[in-house]
Amino acid sequence: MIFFEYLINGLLFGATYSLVAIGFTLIFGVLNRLNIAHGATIMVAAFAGAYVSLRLGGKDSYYVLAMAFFIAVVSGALLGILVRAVAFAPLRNASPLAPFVTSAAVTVILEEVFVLISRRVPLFSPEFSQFPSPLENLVFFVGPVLIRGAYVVNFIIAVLLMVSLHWWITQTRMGRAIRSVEENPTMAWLLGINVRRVEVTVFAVASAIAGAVGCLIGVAMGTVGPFMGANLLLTGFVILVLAGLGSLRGAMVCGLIVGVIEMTIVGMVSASMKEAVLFIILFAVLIVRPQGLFSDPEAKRD
Amino acid sequence: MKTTRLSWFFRGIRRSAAAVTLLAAASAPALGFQSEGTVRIGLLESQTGTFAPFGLPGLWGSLIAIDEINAAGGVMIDGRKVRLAVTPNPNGYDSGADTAQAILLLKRLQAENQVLMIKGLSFSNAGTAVFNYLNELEKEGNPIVVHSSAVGAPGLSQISKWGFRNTFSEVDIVGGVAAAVQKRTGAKTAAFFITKDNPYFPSIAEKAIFPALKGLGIEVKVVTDAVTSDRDFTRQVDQIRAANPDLVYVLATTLPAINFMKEAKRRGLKPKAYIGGISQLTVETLKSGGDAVEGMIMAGSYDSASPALKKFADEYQKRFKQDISLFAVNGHEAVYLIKDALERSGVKNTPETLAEDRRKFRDAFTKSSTTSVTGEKIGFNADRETPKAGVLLHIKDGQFVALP
Repeated sequence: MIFFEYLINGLLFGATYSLVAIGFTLIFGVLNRLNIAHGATIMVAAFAGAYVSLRLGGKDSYYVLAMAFFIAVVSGALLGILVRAVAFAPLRNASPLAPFVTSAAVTVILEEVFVLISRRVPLFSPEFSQFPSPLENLVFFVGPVLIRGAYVVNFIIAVLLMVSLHWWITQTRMGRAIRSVEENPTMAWLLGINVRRVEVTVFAVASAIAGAVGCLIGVAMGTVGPFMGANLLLTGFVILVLAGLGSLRGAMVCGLIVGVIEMTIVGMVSASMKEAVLFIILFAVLIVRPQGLFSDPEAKRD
Repeated sequence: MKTTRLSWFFRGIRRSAAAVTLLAAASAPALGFQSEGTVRIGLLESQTGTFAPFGLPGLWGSLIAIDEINAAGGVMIDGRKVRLAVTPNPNGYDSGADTAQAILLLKRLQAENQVLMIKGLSFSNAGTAVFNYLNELEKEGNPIVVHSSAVGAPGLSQISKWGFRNTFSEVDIVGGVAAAVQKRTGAKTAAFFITKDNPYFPSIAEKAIFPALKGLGIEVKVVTDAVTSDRDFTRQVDQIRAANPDLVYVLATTLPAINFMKEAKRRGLKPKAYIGGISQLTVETLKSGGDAVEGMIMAGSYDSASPALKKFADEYQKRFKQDISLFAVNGHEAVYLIKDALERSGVKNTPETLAEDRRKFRDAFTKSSTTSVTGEKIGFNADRETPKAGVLLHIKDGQFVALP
């Protein structure tokens, strides 16, 4: 029965991982570059949400929780635009590795800044700070299976965000422009699409999703910390490769799969085995399908 | 959240930056010693990572004591008052949660920074490694005193005669705690939640708590373990709930203990008492634990309601915007123990006499004593530890309060 519980909670929590990977893959799809600062964006947004919750007494208020979520999303979007301006835009013609290094540098700087902030701001604590929310102790029992309210809320919000994103990408003019740039940026530019505007929009949207993730994970864990993004970046990267680079649909599905695997391993064995098992699975998938589970083998960008 | 394996990349960048800084510092002209009116004390605490809740209060408590001593003119060495110089200034080195880093920085303090002694080490893994390394330094003829105000693993200070600590030793008091809790609750059974990757917790359970419970006739029904990086404690809580014990011992560092207690609350695990340890005596336990840790019982070295602590607590709050904890008090005490030894050691405090001064300091340190800010008189025993009476505490209304 406990396995069944891990399965359900893993599926629910895995939706948050899907969001991590979607943000990651959106930027990769448009720029063909990995944004290493995506994890740090999640962390900063989580702190922004935690600050609102701590400041306004969010332990018992769903109104404050909604406000914390909104602030986390906005701060994520703004930080994403800043990261693009600092770490990506000036390096348009540089080596593909250059933005990898600059976005990693942004990560290190942000983590160190938040180490200092958590020491200096009395609301926070040095190693980890609380993210109070009314969902902390909310639980449902389905027979003997306990399901956390925070996971259910996370799942619902994650699914709503994924559905909205899918609609935006497939049905709107900007979505079509994004897909055109993903397919062939030069041709998109020749056809009159403002590639720079597409890039800024994608960074803002992907980072806003990162902001939502920061808040959702902060609420689920009850704490935030300066290095929380590094863990999530690793998970996001595994999902990205497992699904196939640039596959939004794959990122959604593989996020759920990874959530279930992770929850089961952590619960039944230990957290120390989590990454090892994930990488063994990743290794096995790459041997069988090097392009990932959801990517076309012929897909190649110019 | 704790950093995981991908962060090797970021750690690498940080270490490279730190190495450049350290090389620059090493090539700078030596400062300190009697001629400049200072004596160098190396600081090496965990200022980031899992053990920062123990390392930072220890550092901050020490810094307050150092400033108090310097404001009063310093310490009397070789007929002259000299100031305590924190090396490197202003906060010492950060050993993080990395044992290898602790050893590396110890070497640097010993060989390049030329400190007289080192105050630091915030977790038992680092304590074990460093105290063993002190024996190597002694064989090489370059020994140095390392004093910790945080590491607590039983028997740790017996590893090297150069290793000292003024930690509150739970080993001496766990039997008394168990007896007191049994008297209050009539407990007959117990269960354990232990994070096994930190040797302190399995060690104190095996060497002290299990024998004490056996002596009291309390049956241990289940022992469930985890590692510090675990976030989900469903399995552990369910195992303990199935055993329905009267007492639940929580032997873990701050964050996993909090998360375990939160999961226990969600799952309705209600023993007669939860018993924690000194690792729970942190501000973070109260701030992040909230309702889940209310009622938890543990032993501490002082009663926070004691008026003797007020001046120190006020200064600590003013400077660091935090309430004091056991680790802050220990850090403060440690510096006064060092001061006492410095003034009686007969050191010359010159670069030429450094090796001899380190030996003289060690000899004087074994006899060092002071009156803590808690009002308790403390000094080293033959194992280079400072036995303390201890107070039974519980968490009530978000505060550590002495049990009536």
